[in-house]
Amino acid sequence: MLAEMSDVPAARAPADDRYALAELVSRVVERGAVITGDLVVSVAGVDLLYVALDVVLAATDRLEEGRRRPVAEPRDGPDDG
Amino acid sequence: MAPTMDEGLHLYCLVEPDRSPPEGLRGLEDGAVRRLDVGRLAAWVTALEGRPSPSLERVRRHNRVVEAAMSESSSPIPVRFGEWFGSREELLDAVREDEGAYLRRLEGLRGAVEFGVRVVDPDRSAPAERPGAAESGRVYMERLARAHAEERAARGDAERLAEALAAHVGSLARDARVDLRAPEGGLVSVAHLVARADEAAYRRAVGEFAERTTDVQFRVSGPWPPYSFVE
Repeated sequence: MLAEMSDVPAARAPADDRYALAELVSRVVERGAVITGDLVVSVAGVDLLYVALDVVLAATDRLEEGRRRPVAEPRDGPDDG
Repeated sequence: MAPTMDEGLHLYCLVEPDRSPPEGLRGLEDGAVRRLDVGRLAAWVTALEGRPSPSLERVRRHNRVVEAAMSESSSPIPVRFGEWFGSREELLDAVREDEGAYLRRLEGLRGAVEFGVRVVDPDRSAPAERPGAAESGRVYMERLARAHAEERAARGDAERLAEALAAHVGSLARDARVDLRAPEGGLVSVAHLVARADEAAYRRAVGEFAERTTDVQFRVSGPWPPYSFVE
């Protein structure tokens, strides 16, 4: 893919593909030229897309939480994660 | 092979007339990407029987085709996902209607790419608490006022940040689009149109700005096709 996360200082710019994915989706379905003036993209379809995106983002968040959590640290409870 | 008269077409982008898709480029549903000449423009299309619904895979494929139309010297007009035409004639008519405007836009985008800068305030990652339905009228109104005040403060911060960033990058950004909606702790999202020759300087400028603005996080993406600079 052409677009990549930038090389701003690492501590300030998480090089996470998930942000690039969110940026990609918002550009492709919300921006770009509208040729017909009555562009029809199913609202339900776009909603589902964002639901899918949220699932991807949430899954990545959980994955990263897991990576940050020390191996020996006890879990908080059954609802955690 | 040129598209036939009566097949449906998914449109990815508009380009200068001499630009053909790279051989073997595949688009939605793994269909071949083809060039359709429209006056002094060309459209990159794939034959599809019906209007595609959006999915992450299709969004990726759409963008991959648009990116393939980028070159050192020219940038396409990216088309929003969902522009599907029932026939070649429908597409030709729709594009011809604004051909002059598209040509001018192509000229304005020449040699430029888009970068995105999203500013996130980690302290605002939780949405402001909204009043609940079961509260008394006075408590409800107080909480509503508090929520609105927090939103106004966030909007003010976002506007000031966007102005400061614009001042810092200066003429490195040929154009800018500012989005003050603030989902998920985001304060502001800015798109900049940057000349390819200025990419490195632009990245440095944004990096410097991020370094000295310590209470928020910056997420920079790009280069993108110029989705935010077409209508």
